[in-house]
Amino acid sequence: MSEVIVITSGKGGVGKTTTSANLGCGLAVLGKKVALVDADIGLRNLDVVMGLENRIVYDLVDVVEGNCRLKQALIKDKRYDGLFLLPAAQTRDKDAVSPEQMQKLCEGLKEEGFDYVIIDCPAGIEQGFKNAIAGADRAIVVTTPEVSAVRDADRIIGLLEANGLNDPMLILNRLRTDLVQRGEMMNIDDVTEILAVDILGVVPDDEAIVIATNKGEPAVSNQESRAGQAYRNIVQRILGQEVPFMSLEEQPVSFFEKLKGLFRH
Amino acid sequence: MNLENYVIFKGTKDGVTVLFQEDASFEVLCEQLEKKVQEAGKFFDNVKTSLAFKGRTFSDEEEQQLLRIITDHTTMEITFLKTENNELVELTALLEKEMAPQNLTKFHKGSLRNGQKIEFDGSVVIIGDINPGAEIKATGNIIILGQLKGMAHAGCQGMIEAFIAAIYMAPVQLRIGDIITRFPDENKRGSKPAEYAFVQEGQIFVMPLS
Repeated sequence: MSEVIVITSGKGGVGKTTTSANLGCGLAVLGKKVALVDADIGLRNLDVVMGLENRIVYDLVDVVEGNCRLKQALIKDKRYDGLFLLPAAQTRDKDAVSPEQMQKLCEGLKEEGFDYVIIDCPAGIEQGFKNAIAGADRAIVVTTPEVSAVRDADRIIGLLEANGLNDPMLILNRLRTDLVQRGEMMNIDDVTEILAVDILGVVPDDEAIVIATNKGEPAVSNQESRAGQAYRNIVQRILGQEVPFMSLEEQPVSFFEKLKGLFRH
Repeated sequence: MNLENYVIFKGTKDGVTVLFQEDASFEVLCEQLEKKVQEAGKFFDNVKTSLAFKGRTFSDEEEQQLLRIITDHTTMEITFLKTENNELVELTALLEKEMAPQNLTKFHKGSLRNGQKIEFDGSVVIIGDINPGAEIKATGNIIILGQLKGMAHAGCQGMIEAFIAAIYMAPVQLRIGDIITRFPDENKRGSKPAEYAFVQEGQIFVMPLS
């Protein structure tokens, strides 16, 4: 059975693309056949984050317009078998595709035998958002513990429900445990209280993500990264397994780190 | 020789209208048009006007053929073409395919940013950089007086002899004819000489220019 999951947020810069890339890789590691679809036409990024930019020949708009077959546009990932990317067009804009065409595209991907189709939705609530959610069976909303991001997530959840995508799952991204402990950042309970949806996972703020993104290698495969661990847990939960939430206590700081901290202050 | 008036020229306030008889064959119309235009001779010379075809609908090829008859025999400068279905077609676009000389070169000053695209029937010279995510497509050669970091496609209609030259060559992808090559993943930094890319034995090679 295949499932189309859209990763959305409303606000930009909260980590939709990073989440899409990591979930795609995480599912592929576990032997699933996964298609990542970049729906951000005109501002594509997923190919860069995946390190596949230089392999693009055809894109989503080419498929929709019939310039190529779906199979020709799918780029095989260089690390994981079973992971494919359908890149967005860069020299076009959101109007190049209609929700009906996206629906057809998702059907086509399901027929190709993918277990999961993950759609990276653009920021905003306009045409691009409508396109991205058109063919989805399920939605994952990404937010950060900031008032503005949570506000936008609330709006998005409302729009998703209005479009028949009920019970979206929430990923709380870039949580700073030190700030939460000092009471200077919203914690998980604060966010879930406002949004009243099930939480799929919490990803701590981690510089490994920045490094991985710039290198074009998703952090999910980094065993040392806490964010990578969080993404692996989320993948397990998507597959229907019960995984306890990882402890978000600050890890003990090494002597060397303490020393560095001393000099910083 | 048929003496009936199958083709009638009319001057209107919007420009020149050419009325075609509906029942005449296309060949006869062409013949008559040619004759009329020749007869009018210098009358249309150096006139800048829009043109309308009325009386019957033509296919794109037929339209082009009629236009060519007019442009071959006069120096009339046609700005717009109005057809029976009242579409205003910008003439340059319509005639570009037929009229563009093979060795036409487009010069572009300024850089191409992510998402910008230049497509041209002929060769292209860019004075500026091609950023990642930008595309440049030409049926002929491409010369970039700057950094090529995006995608360049020379000889895009199959001209395999086309080349791509750049002051700093670090493209995401290069294409010549129907051959596609991607550059090594590692980011090359630092200075290197200007290079050009060409096809030999079905492969794209990149060599220093000097």
